[in-house]
Amino acid sequence: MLRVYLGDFKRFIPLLFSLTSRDFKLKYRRSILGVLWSILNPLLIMIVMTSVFTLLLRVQPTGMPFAVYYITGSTLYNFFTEATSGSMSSILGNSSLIKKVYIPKYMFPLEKCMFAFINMLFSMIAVVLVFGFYIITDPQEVSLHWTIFLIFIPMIFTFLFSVGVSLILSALTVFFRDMLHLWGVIITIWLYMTPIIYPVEILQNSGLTWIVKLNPLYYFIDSFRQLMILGTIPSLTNFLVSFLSCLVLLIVGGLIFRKAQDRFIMHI
Amino acid sequence: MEGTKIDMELKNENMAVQLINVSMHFNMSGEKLDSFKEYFIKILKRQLFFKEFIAIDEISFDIEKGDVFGIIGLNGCGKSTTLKIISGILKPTKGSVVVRGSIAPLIELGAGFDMELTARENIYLNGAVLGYSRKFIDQKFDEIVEFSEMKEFLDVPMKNYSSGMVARIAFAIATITHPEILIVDEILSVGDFHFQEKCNKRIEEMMSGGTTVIIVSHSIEQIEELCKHVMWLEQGKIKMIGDAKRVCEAYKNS
Repeated sequence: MLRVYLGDFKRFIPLLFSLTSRDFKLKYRRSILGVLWSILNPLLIMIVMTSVFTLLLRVQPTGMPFAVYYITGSTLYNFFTEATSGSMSSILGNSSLIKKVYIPKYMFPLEKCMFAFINMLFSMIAVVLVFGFYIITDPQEVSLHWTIFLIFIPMIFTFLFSVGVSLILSALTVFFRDMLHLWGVIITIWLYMTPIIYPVEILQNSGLTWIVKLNPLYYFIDSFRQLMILGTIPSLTNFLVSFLSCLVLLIVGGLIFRKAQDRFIMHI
Repeated sequence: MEGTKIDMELKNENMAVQLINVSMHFNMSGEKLDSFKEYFIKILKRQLFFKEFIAIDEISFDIEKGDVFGIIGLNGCGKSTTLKIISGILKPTKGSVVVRGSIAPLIELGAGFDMELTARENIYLNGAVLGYSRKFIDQKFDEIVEFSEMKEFLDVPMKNYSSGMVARIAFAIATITHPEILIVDEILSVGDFHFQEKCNKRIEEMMSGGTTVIIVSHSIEQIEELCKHVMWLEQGKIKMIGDAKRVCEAYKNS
């Protein structure tokens, strides 16, 4: 059984790449700056957010400038948003294919996650630019550490977690189109439950830290920041929580998707 | 193919396709329930018991390797559903399906084309949809273009193509390999006369090369000309199956 699945997967790997490159071409077709937007966009938003939060609200995270703090968190979170929102409608959007050719259906959410991941890699250029800017202008506060070579670990965790969530969402959306609207709300709530624009210390006085601690994205983002900016190794607990939450989501997502996939065709 | 069960009685290696007691039921839930609200209201009203529509009712048949098999019948008799079950798109509600060999579906030409992309890009995309590797398409690219005679329009977005032009490209890609099973659904009626000839020639080439071909068409003349065996479906059941001439005669006289 497993061999059939793996064989199927291997046969359709080229499709995964073809669909990703299709999305890529369509996203940037007829825009003058093209893929540069993937770098420019996070930079511009970062400038807006930094101005609002440091000048008006005077938020100050410990150990790093707000701009660095914000752009590291938001890049990972934006990836999560883009991957899950893209995946949600991936089954519906490819209905013409699903109705006419046999393709393993998980290819579609997986492809959207890959596409979002590639976009995140471009956005990482913006992160590096901001990081480099502070290394030069503010060497006391920001400096380069060897741990930067490990940042791929939280990135991969975020990817696996997003795939799990995407599998669930894409299956549910086929049966309940409401999810498309609901997810927009959930993802906003989730954004504010993740320390991206505020430092996690703010919560300590209000006794709300536990909310953040239940949020797997917090662990990914926290270890990403530690590795990239602070130069510290995240705790073992952090690693275990990250690993387990990915595993659970992937298994649950996989099971839900597998159970639902044969009925997709009647609803698209 | 996923989820196929091979019963002992099914193990006949000379058959390319075997269907045993296959049924396909669809939910005819009037309107589709696409939102939570509707879903809960229906549950509360206890209306969530769908009326079932039986598209295919307990049919069994075998298709030999190398056969050219036609399926005829009126609209809605279950022809396309049968093809979709064979190609793995639909999973039957009951029964088992065995398929031996690779399938190239021509179910509807141009499925899997993205009309925003150019023909060149679509050739790669559609090749991947059919499970071919990029390298393989690189090798066959010129052959595909040559067969479709669309060289000048390769870099035009396909939304600017006419349906005949789309069909040419699609046919060229789908038949570039020599699949063991080729599924053809009403496609021979597209394209101009010259191209139809070309398609027929290519299908005949494949047939002599041992490919099993399954054809669905409303053109009874075409079926009579191409097929060796024909199955006549009526309301999801087999009305008649056997030698092409005999079945076609009976169909025309009905």
